[in-house]
Amino acid sequence: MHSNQKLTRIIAGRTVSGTTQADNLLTLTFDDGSAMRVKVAAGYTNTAVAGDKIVKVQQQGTTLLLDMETGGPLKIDTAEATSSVMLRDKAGKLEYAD
Amino acid sequence: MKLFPVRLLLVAFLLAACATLATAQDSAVTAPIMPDPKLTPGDVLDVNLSDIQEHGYSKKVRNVPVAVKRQVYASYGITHWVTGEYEVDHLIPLSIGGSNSPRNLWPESYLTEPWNARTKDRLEYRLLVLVRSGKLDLHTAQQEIARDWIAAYKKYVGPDPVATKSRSRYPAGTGRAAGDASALQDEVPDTETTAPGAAPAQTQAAPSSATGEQGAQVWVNTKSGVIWKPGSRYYGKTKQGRYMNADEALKAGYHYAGGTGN
Repeated sequence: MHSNQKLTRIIAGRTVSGTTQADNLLTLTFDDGSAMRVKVAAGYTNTAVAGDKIVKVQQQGTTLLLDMETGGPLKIDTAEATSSVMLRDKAGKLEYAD
Repeated sequence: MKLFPVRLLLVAFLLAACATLATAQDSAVTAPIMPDPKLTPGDVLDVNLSDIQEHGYSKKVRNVPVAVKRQVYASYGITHWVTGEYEVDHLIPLSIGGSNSPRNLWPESYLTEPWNARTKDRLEYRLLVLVRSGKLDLHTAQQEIARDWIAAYKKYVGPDPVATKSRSRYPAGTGRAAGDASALQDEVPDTETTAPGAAPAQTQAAPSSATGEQGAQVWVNTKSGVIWKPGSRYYGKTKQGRYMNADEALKAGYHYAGGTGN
């Protein structure tokens, strides 16, 4: 699994404050008001837990792995190897896209 | 007598090297200038004009993973390529919202003339300028370059592309993105140049009428798309470049270094 340093630099230290999933779109919201939208593979079920802090992001193929501070890593199956993740800050300003 | 096998090996090596070069040239001639619309129809990110107008927008987008680049080469039936032969290019450039999906990527030749990856870079930069300034609708720009980038070039840059005998500085297949307008959009200092004072690799005599004013001769770094006025640090000194009329350079989509060219 390869480290996604670009996303790690931005998101490490943020705490998940909530999650929603509608169809194939998973949204993770963070304590600073930012939100990450992930296009997930069909059949993916969200297992994210609010209150945990992101330490590191790894990504390979259609697997996005968020290493959390206390719980186990959060594995997300993305719809594609690219073009599936987008992060915007509290004001809606783009922070990251793939 | 002992030297004979060594000489034989040397001759065999040279013949093999020539054969490899000939194959590369042949493949360049037949390289696809246009993407296959079934494989690469174009794809965009969910971004808007204000995202794109943000300084450093393209740097916020993840680099194309090597595995995806290999996948793109394979989908086009390209199993062997040499350094500088292709760029896995975004049909709709990152700089105007194109995505990293394989649906937006294709192996674009550096070697075909006059339509090649460098020529398309000029169009990408031109579209970026037009979109950012509000002179061209973002969606229209995305659609036109995806439909037929050569027709878009003729429409927005000019009918006659400048021949570009340039090659990528990045090895193909290394995962290093090369050469689209995203690399140009935030450029102010010209970092792709030789050291100040060094002689340019492609030497041209400086024009006698160089004054640095509009309509006069300027130096264009054809690799980065940056214009340098006479007397500026890199005027006539970049590794790749040529003297051009200032108006023509601007019309072709080049831009002044640091906004002034000084």
